[in-house]
Amino acid sequence: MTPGGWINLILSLGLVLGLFGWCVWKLLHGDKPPEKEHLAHIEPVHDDEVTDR
Amino acid sequence: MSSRPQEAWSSRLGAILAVAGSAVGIGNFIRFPALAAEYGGGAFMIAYFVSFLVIGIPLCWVEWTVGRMGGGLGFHSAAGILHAAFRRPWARYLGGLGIVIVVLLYFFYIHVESWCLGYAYHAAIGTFQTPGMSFSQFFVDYAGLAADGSSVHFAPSQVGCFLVLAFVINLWFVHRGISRGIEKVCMWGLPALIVLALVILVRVLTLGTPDPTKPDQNLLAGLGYLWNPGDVGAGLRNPQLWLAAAGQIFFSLSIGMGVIVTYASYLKKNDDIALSGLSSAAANEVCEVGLGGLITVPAAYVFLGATAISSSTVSLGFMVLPDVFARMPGGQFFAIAYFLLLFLAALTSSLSMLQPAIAFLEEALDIGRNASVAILTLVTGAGAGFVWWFSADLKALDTLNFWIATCAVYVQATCFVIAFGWIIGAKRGLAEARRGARMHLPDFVAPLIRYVCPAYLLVIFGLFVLQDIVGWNFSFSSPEFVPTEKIADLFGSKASPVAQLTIAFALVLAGLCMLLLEHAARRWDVRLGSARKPSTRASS
Repeated sequence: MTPGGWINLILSLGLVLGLFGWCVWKLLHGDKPPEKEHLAHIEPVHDDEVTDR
Repeated sequence: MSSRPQEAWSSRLGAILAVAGSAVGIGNFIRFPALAAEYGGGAFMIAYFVSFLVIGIPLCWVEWTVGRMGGGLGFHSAAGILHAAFRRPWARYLGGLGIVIVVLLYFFYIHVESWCLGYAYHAAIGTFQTPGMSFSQFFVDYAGLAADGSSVHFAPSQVGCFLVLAFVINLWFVHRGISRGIEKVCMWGLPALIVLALVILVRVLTLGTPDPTKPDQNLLAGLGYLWNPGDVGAGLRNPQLWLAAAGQIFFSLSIGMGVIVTYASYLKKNDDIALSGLSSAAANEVCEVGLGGLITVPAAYVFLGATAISSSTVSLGFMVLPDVFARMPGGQFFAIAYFLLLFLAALTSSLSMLQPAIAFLEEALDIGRNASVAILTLVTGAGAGFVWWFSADLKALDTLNFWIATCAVYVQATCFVIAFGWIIGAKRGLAEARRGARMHLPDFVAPLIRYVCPAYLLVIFGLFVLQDIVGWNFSFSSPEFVPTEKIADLFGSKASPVAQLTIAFALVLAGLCMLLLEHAARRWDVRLGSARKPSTRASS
């Protein structure tokens, strides 16, 4: 195996493993897309306020 | 419309693994390293990665996007999806072509899968440890290369049992559906495959110099045989190398067949496709470059030398490698592991060839799972039986492999990316791909899909036609055009009746599919029309 062979092997493996590792990291820790339909903006209704509404 | 239950992936990981499982196949472990060794590791890897970046990843994103879009419209087959997206006859024919392609691929791929299963069995019972065994002759007898029909037997040690077994396993899991069948197989099968590959990799990387009388045949020399760059400049000027590299990317990533389109159609409207598509492609590359590139060729070189390494998948996988394992310390165990690995890789791929047809039959005929699986069993049984019977010199298998797995797939993918980039519109398509995306898809992807990808595909396809059909020797000074064996098989005095019959079979199947499409299109139009009525009323 020549030095060029080692460089070729390391670069090729590094590229695919790096890409795969980055994908796994993004899948596990990446930002989730903003959810458009969530209920966080709805005010909670307390029992003592029901008649006021 | 029938009340078929709507299917979906049960998890995003399941969808990613299913697409990756579809991509990871026998070619990752045999075809890729053999090609890299043949063309010289340096130049080939450059052409390979350029093809991966220019056509591999963009086409994956295109197929994931179109698939999810079609799923949102209520379709899961490429024909239905393209019909709904474009509302033009050519679109559904293009989608129909994709379905015919994968079914025809299945006709011969199931045989290779059954060989892997049969070889694992033979490794387990010690057949390959027989002293003085001729592995080439074993394969000739096993696959029936000597004469048509010579492998049609059902004794426990012969291929018939394993063909039926592989057939039943595939149909069983497809019948179970997306989440309970295909997803389950891929969730277990792909990790198992990687574990097996890692075990074999450790064995190969610790081989050293197994025969002290042949010090040149050592592990480092075996790795160097594949990875040493060679003459990179001359290699990159060789159009055949680019053709081989691009073809391998196509073959490996399962692009251009409508498989990813079908799988992606089972995603939800806002599911991520950008990161999922890239992840499945990256997983395939790890298996191909990281595992396939370090196992097969170095192992074969260490025991048998450079002359034994063939660029033919069949020869390397089923004649050379059993010989390698027979000489390897602990070889029986590693042979079982290797052929089981190949079987798992083939199974996850063959399942992906059946699902587009299942989805098409259900949508076109408005039938349920039992009926669609029954029809598909008849069609694939006839096709696989045809390939099984005409086994002499593997003529039927080779004909399908060349005209369908290579030629038709190029045509399909080129038309597909042009339709996406120019008719849907690359910018609109990119906006669709970005919905729910968990990674940023850069703006340059749009011109890449609109201009670069089709141009690259057309050039590669042109090279393919010049080399493998017209038979040009790629010389401008003294050009020669000698029609290749594939052309001679179909036309002229030396035509092969089996090759002609194989193409006739494929054309009849394509014709039936188109007739079915015409029948289906009328109902799809009604369905699409009724789906649009509420919005029409709302706007008025």
